[in-house]
This record gives sequence, C-alpha cells and structure tokens, in this order.
Amino acid sequence: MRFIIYFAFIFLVNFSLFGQTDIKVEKEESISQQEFPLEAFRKIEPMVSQSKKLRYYREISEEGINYEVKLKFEGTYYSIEFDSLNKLKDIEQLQKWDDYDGKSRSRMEVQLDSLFSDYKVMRFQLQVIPNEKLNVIESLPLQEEMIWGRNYEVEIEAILKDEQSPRYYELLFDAHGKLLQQRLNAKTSNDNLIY
Amino acid sequence: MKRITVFISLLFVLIILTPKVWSQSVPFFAEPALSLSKSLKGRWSANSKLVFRQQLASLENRQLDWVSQSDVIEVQLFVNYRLLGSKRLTIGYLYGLDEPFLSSAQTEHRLMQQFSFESGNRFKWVNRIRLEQRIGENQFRNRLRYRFTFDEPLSGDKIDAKEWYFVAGDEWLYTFTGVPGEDHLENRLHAGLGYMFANGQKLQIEMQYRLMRIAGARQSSAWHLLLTYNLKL
Repeated sequence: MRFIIYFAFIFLVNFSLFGQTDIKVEKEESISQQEFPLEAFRKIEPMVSQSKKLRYYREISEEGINYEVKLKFEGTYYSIEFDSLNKLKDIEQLQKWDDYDGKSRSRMEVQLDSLFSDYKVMRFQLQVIPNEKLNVIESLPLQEEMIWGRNYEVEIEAILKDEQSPRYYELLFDAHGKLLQQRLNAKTSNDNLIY
Repeated sequence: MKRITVFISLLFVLIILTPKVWSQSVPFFAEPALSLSKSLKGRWSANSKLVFRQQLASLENRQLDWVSQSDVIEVQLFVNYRLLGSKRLTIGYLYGLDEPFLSSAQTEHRLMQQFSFESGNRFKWVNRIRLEQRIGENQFRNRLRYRFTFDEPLSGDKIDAKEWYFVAGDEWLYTFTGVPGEDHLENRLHAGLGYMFANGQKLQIEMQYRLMRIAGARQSSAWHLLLTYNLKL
C-alpha cells in the first residue's frame, strides 16, 4: 500500500513536468552595484547616497537589455530604468491610489468603469518620461503639476464586462487620463502560500 | 533579504536549542504532498491536496534513531470564492487516516472555513485565517489557525519561470475542546526553497518546526520535512 502511494506521487509529479512550454518573455535578475553600468550610476549617484532599500536589476527581454534601480528616497519608492546605452528610460514613483486626487483620476475611473464590471486597484504609479531640458532625477519627488511627459500605470484586479472571471491587468494612462495601453498581467499563482 | 535572514536565523536557533531545551524525544517527519489547483467558472476555483506523513527518525539526547512509524494520509478538498483585491473565501473538507496500514487505523473528518488575503505594499505577505472542526472517532475538537507566509525570489524582484525562490512563514494554532485543561496552543515555523517551472508549477522543500502544547505540562516539539508539488490544472 505504502509503495503504491509513493509510486502514485512520483508518477503525478513526473507527468506534470512532462510537456512544459516556455512562456517567459522577460528575465529580471538581481545584480550588484558594481555590475550596474557606471555611466548610468553616475546619474543617480547623489540620490543613491540618500536612499534606502536599494536594489539593482538587469532586465533581459526581446527589446534588449535594460538596467533598473529600485530605491526608497525621502520616504517614497522609485523605480529608475536605463537602456543599454545608459539613457534614462523612465522613472516610476509609487503612490497610493486612495491618496491620489489629481485631475486625471476621475477620467481614469470613467474608463475603468466602462471596461470592467468590477475592479480593485492594486498598485498605482506615476511614470515620467525624461525630458532633455530638465533633470528629472533632481526634480524628485515627482509632482502632478510638472509639465513634462508623464503617464499613470495602474495595476488592477478586475472583471471585464463580457467576462466572469477576475484577472490582473496593467493599464497605462496619459497625463490627461486617456487610456494608452491595456494588457494582462501574468501574476503567478500564490496557491503554494495558501494551502 | 532581511526577512530571509530572520527566518533562517530563527530556524537555526531552534535546531541548536531543540535537544537542549526539550530534553525529550523529538520526532522527525517526512511529509511529501501534492497540491492541485483548478479554476472553475467565474470567481470560483477548487484545490485539492494529498498529504502523506511518515516519521523517519527520532532525536534523543543528541542521538538520531531511525524509525518508521506514525503514517498519516490526508486528502483535502477546497472550494474558493475569489474577492477582488487578492482575497479569497474558502470552505474545505479533509479526510485523514492515522496509521492507515494497521487494523487499528483511525479516521478523521475535518471541516474548514477560511479567509485569505494579501497584505504589504512592495513586499507581499499572504495571510490565512482558518477555523476547523475536527471530528475524530472518539473526540471532537475546534481549532483556530492564523498563518502568514511569503515567497521571495533569489534573483530579481518577482518570481519568474525557471527560478528558485525562498519561502517562509509562521502559523499559530489554538485548539479548543470544551474539556478543562485540554485547550492548547501550537506554533509552526517553516522556511525553505522553491522552484518555479516554465509552466508556473512550483516545487517546494521546507523545514518546519512545530512546538505543540506551548507552556503546558505536555509541551513537545517536532521537525517536519515538507516536500510539496503545486500543480495548476
């Protein structure tokens, strides 16, 4: 009896491993500060010395290799991304959706209501696309009134109007609250932590 | 990284202290398990888990004696209703067999009601509150459990396919029976490693330290080696 149970267990595990398909499109790996490109690092160096919870990453995707630093600066979480040529790609500033009362909020809510029968905002970030005329890093924390290009990245758990099952989505709105991009966020299951 | 260090340190301290503080036999169990998840219609999903537990050894006076006894088989079934905001309501049933290979095998039926939710901002914790009614052949017990767990990739900010991750957590269990002197508290601390395959399935190996009947006359402890395969159908 015991042998049968062990055999069944091993069989089920092996069966499930068979026929895996590679679904990965982006790989993110932790790197040390020394591995972070020096030229890019120099642009954030003054800020880094005053920051906490610093983490450096290398992102490999179909678009190429990007470098990202995540940190906590003056009580706010930021994510600063550079391309492989050390050019600043964007800065994301984590904000609480409930605390955000900017002009674009109502426009974003109207669009969310039109797309989804129910939704819950899980994460909200102000995303700034750099402008050559301004030193974005020295302008932190990012302000609603800043004139250069900005977007809002909203991660939600929601049910589309023509569907019944909740899913995770990542939405990108422009400064005026117009929806630019909507994509499924492939969040991994956390069943392993619940059962 | 701080959380990983804290949990590994705690387990290390317990390993050091176990034979000294509790000068009694400390059993060592192996616990392979297979966990299956299946999405159903709408917000509904189902989970099942097959657990096989066997005592492999006993630690006494710093000496490890190999044994093979105390087999337990458990089959668990859960039905979940998903609430938005990474919350979940669950009801479940467990059928357990203690010493299933002996004629004196004991059965247990267990009903479970559960609420789970995520907390934390940048770093997420999964919290689980569970109420259980354990119906044995000769006794009935209620149990209230609270568990928090997290997993953290060894590289990167999120767990990607074909990556290793650290997993840890702690659980408090309070058993109440209505019989004077029989209510008791238990703690289960666990930490280990997991691997996520390309298809999202996860294999975890963890060490769990159980401290049972805390602060009671019959306080005891045990180590469990957990090997769990999480399969999404």
